[in-house]
Amino acid sequence: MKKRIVALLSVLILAVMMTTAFAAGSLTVPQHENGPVPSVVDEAGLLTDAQRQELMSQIDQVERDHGVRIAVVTLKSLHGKQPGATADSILDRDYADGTHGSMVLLLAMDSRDWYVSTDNTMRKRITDEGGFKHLSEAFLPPLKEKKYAKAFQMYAATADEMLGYYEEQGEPYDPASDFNLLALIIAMVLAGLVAIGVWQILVRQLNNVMHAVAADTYLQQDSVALTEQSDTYLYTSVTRTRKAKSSSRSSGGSHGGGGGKF
Amino acid sequence: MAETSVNYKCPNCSAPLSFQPGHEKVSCEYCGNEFEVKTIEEMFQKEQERAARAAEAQESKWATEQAGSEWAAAEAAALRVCTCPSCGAEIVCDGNTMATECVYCGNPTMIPKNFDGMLKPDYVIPFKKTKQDAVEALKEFYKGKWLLPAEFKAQNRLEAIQPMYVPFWLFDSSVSAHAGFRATRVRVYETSDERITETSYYDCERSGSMDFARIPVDGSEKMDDAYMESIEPFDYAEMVPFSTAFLTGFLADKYDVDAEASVPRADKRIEYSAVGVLQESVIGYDSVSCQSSAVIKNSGQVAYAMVPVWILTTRYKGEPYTFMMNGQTGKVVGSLPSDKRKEVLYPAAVFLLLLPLMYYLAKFFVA
Repeated sequence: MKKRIVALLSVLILAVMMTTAFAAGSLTVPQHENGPVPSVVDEAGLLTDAQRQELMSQIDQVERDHGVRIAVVTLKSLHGKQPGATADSILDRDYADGTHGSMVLLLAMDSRDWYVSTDNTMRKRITDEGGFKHLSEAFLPPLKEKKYAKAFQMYAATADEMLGYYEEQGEPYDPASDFNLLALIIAMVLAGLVAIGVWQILVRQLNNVMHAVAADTYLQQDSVALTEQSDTYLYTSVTRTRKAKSSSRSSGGSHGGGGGKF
Repeated sequence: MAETSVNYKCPNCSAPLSFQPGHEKVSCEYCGNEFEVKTIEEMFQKEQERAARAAEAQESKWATEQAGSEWAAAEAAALRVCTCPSCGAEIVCDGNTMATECVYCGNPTMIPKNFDGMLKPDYVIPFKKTKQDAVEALKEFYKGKWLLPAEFKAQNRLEAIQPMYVPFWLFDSSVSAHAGFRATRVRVYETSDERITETSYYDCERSGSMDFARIPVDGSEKMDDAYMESIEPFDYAEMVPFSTAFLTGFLADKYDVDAEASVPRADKRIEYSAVGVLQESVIGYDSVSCQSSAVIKNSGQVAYAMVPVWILTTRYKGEPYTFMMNGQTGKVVGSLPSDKRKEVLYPAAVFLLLLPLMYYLAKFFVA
């Protein structure tokens, strides 16, 4: 009996190990047996050595300051895999050692996918609702212009700001709580229009003298007779509008973040 | 001295008679007798003839005396002088006044001389609302007006409250209308990555005929057209053949804008409504707009009627304010003064209350 249990456990452990090895092995990210995996893995070769060194030192500094992992991984291809699932598995395999959470930015150059995966600890600091949007808006513009070094710098710098905000304020950074000048201007215009509307209604209350334009009251309803009624189709015009696509993932699960195309 | 104006005197006690709003007969407030309108009319007819002859005699005499003075000639053209049959005072009125009251003794008086050279009204809508009704209706009119100055309401001193029969032309018209409309139907649908809007355009032609009955247009230059159109409508079911007996106790003007001159105003309203009727038959579309229209009058008739109006005037900070009430239905129209401080305060309060709400809403959509 004991032998059977040992054999069963061995098979199970072997199966788990093989599955992990197969999953990790299917990705072309270099494996590091000794020490932590570097936070910048540029398999797609988007950065020069100098840029990579500079980015690494920037990310190392952020990681040390906040006790987190915020990795950047670029791949030539996903080999048909889903970007979200790939980013999640890289995060779990290589960067799960952040004390205060881990996050990885994954780029796949063949399909031009980008994806940010966060673990549940990081998700409390960079939320899926407001925080992720703010983070992605910071690095997406240079990313779309193929300024990869600039995009990664923005990614690291914005993460640094947001993590610092969490440490100081004790709550995640949400752009909705920031002062927004555009929103104030829109609000002033809307409130002003309503106030003008109210003013017009109040002023109109004072005067009910106006010229009559219609004689509807004096129409003999039973005298109305339609003698001609023809409707002719003329032409059709068509307008097409592209739909905006949402890229953030739904709440729940073990990972946060989101992605899209660049 | 011969009397140049007449008022209805009670055949029993000679007290002045008045037509009471809401009553069928003319009654004496002093001895309580009531008289048929027809009886009083016949009596008045004879008295009127005498008064008219006396007025002619007096007018020619007065005109001769004033000859040679340009100022007096201009005045003479516009004014009438007549003698109050009750107290003998001379009353001055303009050439359109058919009925008034003596400024000295307050007795209702008619100016038969001014009935000359004009059409006799076909109908009259008798007064139903009393002076008290008019005052109450005006107070009600003040209610709910947020910008009305508090002092205006508090003072509430009416300078004059006058009941007046205003001359109106009532137009009956049978028309043929033709109109072309441009109509659209919109279909919106979505594919996986596009929103597609298809707008189909149609040309809709409509023709039809319809009748309009008794569109009122006031025939008095003195009365503001906008005020007169605002107190509409009148209930024509209560309109009766004209009798001068209804005028007693009220001011009354004869028309100084003839029916021909009033036609364009009636036609304009008919055209608007006729096109509206055709447009209502263009159904099943998302939008309809009129491209062109033609309204042809097939036949038209005009009646001349006297309609009841209460005129209320008051003064605030030196400015006169006039209100008019439909003497039949009690509808009050007028223009009230505005408190400039409140005019700024209320919208500002709305602005400040809404600003935070709008800010968070805008931020939600902008962010």
